[in-house]
Amino acid sequence: MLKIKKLYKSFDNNEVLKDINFDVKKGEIVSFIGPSGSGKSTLLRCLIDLEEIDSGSILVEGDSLFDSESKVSKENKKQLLSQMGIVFQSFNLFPHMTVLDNIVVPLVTVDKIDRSVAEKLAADLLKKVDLSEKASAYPRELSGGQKQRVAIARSLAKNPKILLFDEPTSALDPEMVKEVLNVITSLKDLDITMLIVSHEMEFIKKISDRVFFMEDGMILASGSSENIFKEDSNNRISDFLNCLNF
Amino acid sequence: MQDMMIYILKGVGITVRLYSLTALFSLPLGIFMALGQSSGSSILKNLINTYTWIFRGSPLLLQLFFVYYGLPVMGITLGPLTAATLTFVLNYSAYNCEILRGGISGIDKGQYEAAKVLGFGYWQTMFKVILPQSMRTSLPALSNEAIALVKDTALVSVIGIGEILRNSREIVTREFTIVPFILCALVYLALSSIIVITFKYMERRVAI
Repeated sequence: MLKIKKLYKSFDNNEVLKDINFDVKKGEIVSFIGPSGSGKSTLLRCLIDLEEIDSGSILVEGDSLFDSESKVSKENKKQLLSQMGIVFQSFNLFPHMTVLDNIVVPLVTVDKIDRSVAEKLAADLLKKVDLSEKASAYPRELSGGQKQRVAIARSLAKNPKILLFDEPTSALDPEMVKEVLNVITSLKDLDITMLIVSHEMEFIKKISDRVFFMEDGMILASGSSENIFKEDSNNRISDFLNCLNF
Repeated sequence: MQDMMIYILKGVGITVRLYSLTALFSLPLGIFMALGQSSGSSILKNLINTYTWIFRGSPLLLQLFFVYYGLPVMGITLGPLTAATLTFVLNYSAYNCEILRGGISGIDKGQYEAAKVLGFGYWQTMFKVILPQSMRTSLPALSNEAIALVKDTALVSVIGIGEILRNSREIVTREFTIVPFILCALVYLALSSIIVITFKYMERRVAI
């Protein structure tokens, strides 16, 4: 589904991603853990074109999304990106739109879907994230957890094949974390390929098919959830997990 | 007293007309220039910067004299009200542009990113996501400009347009009384109050 080869990314002289290589299968749930500044979020941002990569390639279902060796057509890139979505740490809902319009307006504006059809789809998605009663509320009237659930519904509206989660619970109060994690867990049945960056280790352990441990811009270790979270898997991972009291 | 008031109020029509036309044209022009300034084109940015530098950096009265008395020298003769409207639109669009540019630059980067990953193009992002928010955050500053515009309309009396101040001054000169000036002030205060109330209402309605 997703293939990353020899990906490098720097900000000025600071190399934040170094020789990143991995594959993700269709429907697989892959998580990235590691200390802050290890490049996890930058990696997700590179995958969805929010950061430009320096070199390497990203392939989605065999098609080039980025390739430093050859030029990728704008149309091809746009088409591949339309199959991907991201849920941000800070929600990034549109504050001047109601919850319903946050989902409907992109569908009507970008995908040219008839408003009534888009509203029906949005209502179904809000039901899925248990926020039907908030359809006409504005983001300022919602709790952090509710905002993130709307953001998830908005991402799902595009019917993505690949969904990225960039620390979806980091900006939330502890009591709201669970409601968001429950929603993400419920997406497992949708057969969406998910790439998750999070510090919620219990959640990562439970939901992930594979876990990558990143440090200093590199993938230091990868493996099944059970293997990575084993006490003797890797000294550096054990230190990191100990710091999190996990 | 009643006759005085009627004569002064006759000037309100001119003031309101000048005000409405200025607001009607200077806001969209300001929006497009603000979008131009926020775009990637350095030529466009420099052109707009020069424009706002000239119109914000020189007196409105001088600009009015230039358009009304100066342009005829170059063969372009405009009627007093047309010259006044043109000057006000050019001047106020420069201020509106700067206000809205500030509003646009204050929008969180995450809004652009959300729009991008949802597939919005540049203009869709600006018109559906960024401008509606920056218009809201710019409302208090736009309100100040709207009030300043009410008062600035008095400047057109110097090119012979019979607006509120000119009509008041005529009565003062004719009848040796300052009552028309007091009535004139009351009319300006009433107009300003309408603007203030309208903007406060809008600010409440569209608060983010």
